[in-house]
Amino acid sequence: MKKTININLFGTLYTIDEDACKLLEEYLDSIKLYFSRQEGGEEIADDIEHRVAELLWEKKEQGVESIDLMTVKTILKQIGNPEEMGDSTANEDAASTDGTAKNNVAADDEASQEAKKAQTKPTTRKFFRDPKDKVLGGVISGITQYFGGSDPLPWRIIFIFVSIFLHVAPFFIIYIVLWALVPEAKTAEDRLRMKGKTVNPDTIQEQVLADQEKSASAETSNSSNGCAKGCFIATALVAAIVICGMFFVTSIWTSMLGIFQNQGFGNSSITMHDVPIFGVFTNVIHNLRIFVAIVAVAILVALYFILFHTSKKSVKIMLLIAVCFLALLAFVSIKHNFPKFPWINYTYTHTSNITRPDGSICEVRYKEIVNGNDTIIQADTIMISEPLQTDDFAE
Amino acid sequence: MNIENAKSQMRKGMLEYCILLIVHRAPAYASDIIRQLEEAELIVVEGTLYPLLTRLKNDGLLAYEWQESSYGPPRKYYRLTADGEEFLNALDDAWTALDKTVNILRKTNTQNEN
Repeated sequence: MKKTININLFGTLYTIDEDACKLLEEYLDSIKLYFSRQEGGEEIADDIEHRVAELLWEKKEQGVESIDLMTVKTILKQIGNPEEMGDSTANEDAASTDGTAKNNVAADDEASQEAKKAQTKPTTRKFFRDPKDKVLGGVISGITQYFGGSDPLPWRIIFIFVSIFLHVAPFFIIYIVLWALVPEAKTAEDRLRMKGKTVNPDTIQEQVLADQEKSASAETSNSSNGCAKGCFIATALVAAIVICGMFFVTSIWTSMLGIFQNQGFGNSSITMHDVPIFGVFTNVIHNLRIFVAIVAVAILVALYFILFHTSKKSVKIMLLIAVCFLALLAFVSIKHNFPKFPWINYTYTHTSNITRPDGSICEVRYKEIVNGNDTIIQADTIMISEPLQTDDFAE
Repeated sequence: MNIENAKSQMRKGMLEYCILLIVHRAPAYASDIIRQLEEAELIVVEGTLYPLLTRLKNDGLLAYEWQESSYGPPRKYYRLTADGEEFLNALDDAWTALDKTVNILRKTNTQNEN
């Protein structure tokens, strides 16, 4: 069973299958885009649309009730792709004002040979954002495509790892800037350029059909899950539960790191407490700011996907967030439990109040700076209250 | 350069002239022109024609008017303008010269073979 759509082309109604209609739309769009670059392009596109309408009309006259994908494919093949229609003489007009046929033919010959060369040469890759495979703006998948990769997921994870371990802000800014500046690969032609494939009629046709199938399958999975925007609260709840679950798992995981530390290395750091689970937990809480930021971002991203994308994809995103989460917490706990990374300085501070024999109370601030195998301990003493029985001593 | 390429180069050079010839005979709309060109195996894909027609029109060689059709969508009927006539005459001369040269070359070839 297939859905059909009624379309109106120059005053006549045609019944057309949904997938066929999409292919036709893509085709007409690519024609419009291709010819928009030259003078009178709109008119050419319009003429071609008329021709399509005429061919559809013929089919209708022959008694075809609904136009299917095969028919559209045949029509498109008959009319050809925009690259095949290139009017190579257009540029030579100015040169051959004389108007003799010989001149024209010679110029035409040269120009079209150049065009041929350009066509057979594999196109140089262009940096586009990939709208068909994106999490936020499709920047990472665009970069992956640019460097010849196909699956952006590992690179997304690496990007987030690197940005967490180094510094989030600059990476975030770079991402936003790229998102704003790099164009989206909208047409089949752009998508071919993005992948560095040869742009010619055959590959364009292929690409259009491949995109077609992709979007068709995405749509079926979407409709089977069927709750994109409708049950927002339910999905938000699920997201919250998932995130809580991730938090639970990560706290257990980090506490295991803590136990390992207690058994393997006797010299527990100052901030380690007796109970490893809570000990590590407090360490994590010390980094509350990052923690809250990550959770907030995770929730935002999750909600974005639940609202605007298929649920199949949002599961993938959840996994991605979970991995980042684990990475962050692992980093935080490692930092606290194995303080002797030679390349990082760690500073621990703790304070304790001491009551002196004379009754005065002092606050002692210890600062332990660990750098590789060297540990420096600094202690500052601040008097909080004066000795209590000063008068007694005076007497 | 393969044979198909060479053939398509030849066709391309001829296309403009042939379109003008077709339109000169009687006003024609795009699908008419396509049919006649296809019979002569001058075009491979139909789309080739449209950029060419638009360019010829923009150069003032062709003019068109819309006509309602009882058979499908409205049609653009192209006819030759005065400039177009002139242009066609020039092309005619060039073609005659070209035809002559090619024929002479071919004739000498066949004579040599004999």
